[in-house]
Amino acid sequence: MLNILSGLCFLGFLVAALLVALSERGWTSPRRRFVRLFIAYAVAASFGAGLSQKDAWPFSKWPMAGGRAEAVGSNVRIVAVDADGVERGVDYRAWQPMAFDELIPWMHRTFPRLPRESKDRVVAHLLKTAESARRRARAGEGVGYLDRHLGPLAAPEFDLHPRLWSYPDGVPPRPFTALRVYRETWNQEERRRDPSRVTRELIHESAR
Amino acid sequence: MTGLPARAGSAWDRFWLAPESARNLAAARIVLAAHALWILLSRDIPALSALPAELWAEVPQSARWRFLIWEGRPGLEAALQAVALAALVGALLGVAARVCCAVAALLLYHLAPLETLFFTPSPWAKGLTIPVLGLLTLSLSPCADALRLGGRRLTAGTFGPDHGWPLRLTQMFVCQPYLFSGIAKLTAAGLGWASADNIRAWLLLANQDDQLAVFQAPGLWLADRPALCLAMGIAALAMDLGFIAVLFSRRARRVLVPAAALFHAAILVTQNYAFLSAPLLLLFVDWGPRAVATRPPAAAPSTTPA
Repeated sequence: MLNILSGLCFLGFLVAALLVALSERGWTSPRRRFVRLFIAYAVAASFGAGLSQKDAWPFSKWPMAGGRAEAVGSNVRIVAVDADGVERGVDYRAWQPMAFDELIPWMHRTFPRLPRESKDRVVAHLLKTAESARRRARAGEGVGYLDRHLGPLAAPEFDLHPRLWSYPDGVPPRPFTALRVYRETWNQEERRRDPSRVTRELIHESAR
Repeated sequence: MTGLPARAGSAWDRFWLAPESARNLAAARIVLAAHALWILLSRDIPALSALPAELWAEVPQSARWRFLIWEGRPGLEAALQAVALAALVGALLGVAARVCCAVAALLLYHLAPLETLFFTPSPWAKGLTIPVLGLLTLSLSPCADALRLGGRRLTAGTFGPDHGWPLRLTQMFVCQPYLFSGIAKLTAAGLGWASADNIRAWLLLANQDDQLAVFQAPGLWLADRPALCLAMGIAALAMDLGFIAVLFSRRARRVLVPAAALFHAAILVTQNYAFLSAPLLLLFVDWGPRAVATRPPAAAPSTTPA
């Protein structure tokens, strides 16, 4: 329902814009009235989303750091298993074109609900993507490709992520043969006292 | 109309329809187009259309219709992105600027959600939200009266209400992330959001997961100092709720715009969040001469001061 209302909200913005454009050509008049209408609509739609905290993108509620931070942290970690059976961290750029900021929350929220065969297909796709990135990085061709146009000036993701494979020597040398998906959970205060206080639960492992 | 409604209507017009420099409006066009180009050239949004079907499993039909996005069409999306890029270059250079702004805005409305739709229909954090609204607004205005390639330019000192309202509306879109995130904080947590305990919890959340933290030391150092956490909370809430003042006051603009830039730099270093719309603070820079006097909006056509 929210999608439909949000879509209509943007459609209304377009109609208001169209009326301004038509009034400029003399098809509707007077122009100033439609300019006022457009401004009023833009103010009402954008403040409506923000004040009600109901997102109607592009009229966004901008929920940055809203609410109280949870005492318990939780995240998904995808690790690769190489041909020697050793677990290896995967550089966040290896998942491109997918952004880590969408992939990992999706793995956290949606992935566990999928049937087993769908999970296998997703993980097979991710394994192929990660192995392809590993090979390129190992060959000194860089990690990921989203910096192809702008190099170091390319826009980062919203969350910053450490670069695990900055140099070819730091890239795992053996091919990836499987992926494991873990859910990690920790109490913020306990982890502050002891960074190793993280509980890890395997939620999926691809067939090797 | 008489009384309060008339006075309110008059104040509304005085604010929105006050004259503005053509150069400032043109600068807004350049900043928005350059910003959208920066984001688009740093992504490969069409490729996301080719993700396995399982990733799209929970995307509702209503979201697909809302943005006219159906997966499995990377070629079509690449063509649409190419048109969007061309339109943004046109907007940047001021060539067929109004048409280019409109085309770019409509295509960005389609392309931006494609980046996140498998997870969320709201790509608010990805940097294209304000360009969609701003470019569509500028497409209704004489946004290429200055700072454009070729064609007849008006003199740099051109002012008018038609240059004012689109700039002011776009500036309002830039203010809203601050105001609404302040409202989100108050709605969900009340004034206690700014408490030392809550700020410490946010800092721990943003710095303890090694997958999400490039800078860890500054945030954790702050987290262990309750007085600084409290000061940070109060400053953040004050910035969020107070930034809207830049829309009404040039004096506030001189203080709050640089302060906001510092605020984003501090968040980057202490919480590892990169607010991709931060470059749009350039919309508050005065790029042209100011109007000498404010005239009644109804009788204020575009003019060139002698």
